[in-house]
Amino acid sequence: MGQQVLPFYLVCDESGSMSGAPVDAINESLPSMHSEIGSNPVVADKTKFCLIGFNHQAQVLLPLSDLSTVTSIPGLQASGGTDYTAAFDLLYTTIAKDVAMLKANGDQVYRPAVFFLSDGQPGDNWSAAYQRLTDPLWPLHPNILAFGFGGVDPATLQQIATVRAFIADGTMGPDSALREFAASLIQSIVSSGSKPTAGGTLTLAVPDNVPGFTALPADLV
Amino acid sequence: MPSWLRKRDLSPEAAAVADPQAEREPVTAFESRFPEPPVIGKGPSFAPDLGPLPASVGAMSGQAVPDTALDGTELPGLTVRGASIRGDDHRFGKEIRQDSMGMWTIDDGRSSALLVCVADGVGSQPLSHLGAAEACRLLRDLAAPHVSRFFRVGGGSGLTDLWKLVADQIGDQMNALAAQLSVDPRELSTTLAAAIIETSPASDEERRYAILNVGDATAFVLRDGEFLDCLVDPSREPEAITSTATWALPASIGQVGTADGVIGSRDMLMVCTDGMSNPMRNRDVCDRLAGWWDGDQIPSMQEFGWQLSYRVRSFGDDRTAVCVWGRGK
Repeated sequence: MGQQVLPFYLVCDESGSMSGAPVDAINESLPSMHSEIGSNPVVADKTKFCLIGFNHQAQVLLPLSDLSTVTSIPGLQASGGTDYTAAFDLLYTTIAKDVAMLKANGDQVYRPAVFFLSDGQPGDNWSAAYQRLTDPLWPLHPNILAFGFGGVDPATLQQIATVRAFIADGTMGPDSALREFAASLIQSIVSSGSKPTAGGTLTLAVPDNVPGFTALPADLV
Repeated sequence: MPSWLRKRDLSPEAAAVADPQAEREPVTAFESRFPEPPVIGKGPSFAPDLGPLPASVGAMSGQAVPDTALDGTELPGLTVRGASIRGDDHRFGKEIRQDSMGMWTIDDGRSSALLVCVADGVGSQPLSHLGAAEACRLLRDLAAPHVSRFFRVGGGSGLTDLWKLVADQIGDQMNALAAQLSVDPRELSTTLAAAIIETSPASDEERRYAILNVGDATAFVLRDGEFLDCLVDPSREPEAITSTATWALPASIGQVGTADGVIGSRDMLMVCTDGMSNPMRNRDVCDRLAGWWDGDQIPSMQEFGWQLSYRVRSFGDDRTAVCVWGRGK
């Protein structure tokens, strides 16, 4: 018996430059996200969550899950370089596999939402992997919100975002800004899962403003 | 009618005999003897509680919107049942029902017909429940002068052109209402689906109908145990990902939908919001509904309300349907 599902993917940079306060802030926020979403049955019944970490390689840390049934979320561990190609390629194959699995179950799947977080410029040429992921001809192409701080170039974030980009504005330390990032992710999931649009369909609730960040329009391509 | 309705004698005497504890232990909301809403497949992970009364939506929201509305009528050769039920998500969030419905006989002096309609206020808009109710009312007023034409144009582009004309008039009057309330017309956004059905057909086996819609509110005919789609939402994507886009009155009417056909004395025609049609993409839901409503089975109004309150995990939107059963006179 199928359900309506809005899948969320948190794709998080865990390169060496994230070590210390940034990665700690994300790791400290994951339990509250788990608790807030998992304990809201309206939201938990309609959303699923996946955590992908990447540095010079990418890994699915939490497969697409119903947070009300998850007992723990693995933490991020900072090390290595920054390779966006690895992240986008893994995201592409993961979304394809997840949607196929959901559809096989008879679920009505809404466009996946990606929260992409990075603190540094990538060392690779990620254009081809990104184009494949966001190709409008690929029916599963996700909505992407990109968040950046530290050494990341705002223009890079704008290229990655398909919906909206946010760049840390320096008014907060990275730990506080990343807690705000996590809060905006939680709020987006809760609003998306609990406030249907016309007649009950699910759509991504996009944050307008995130404290500690400046909103940038996504590049139009 | 299911056995649980037929078998119960609800008189106090019968209750005392049937349940000697009844006088000492009053029945509470959690010990209701009336069946819970039916669950189809995997149910929601929370109880079907009504919760507290929803918060007021402000002075311009008009009168209160009841959690549930039931309606019905009997006409020669037709039986009508309608229900509009606040969804689990709105109950959980202390929000009002945004769906609306209506059923009327309309007349242009030459012909009369039954008009049934449903409207689904767009979830994110604060006054969309007003928009939904107003769209139904305006449809009645603005479609009535054209009753004969709706059947005379013969379907196809003629019907679509006529409906577009009426839909634009509804949109204009909703825009005027928005101006009167000093709100953006988008705050009244609503989808709408309606059926105009002959009340005096040449034969009960060939009763003509016209279906009209804006957005993803839609219509089905139940025939021989199968629900047949009357309309295809032009905003729906056919591929793997489910679309969230829909046209809506008054600000984005877009492409209107129409269909025409006939129903016989064993058919049922339903107009519904997508709080009904979305779960119906599951075969189990369609089978259960067909089991209740196919052939000669016509539920009482209260029974219809109970049936329409079925629960399926993740489908927590307001649910509204008006069903018209044909039957021999």
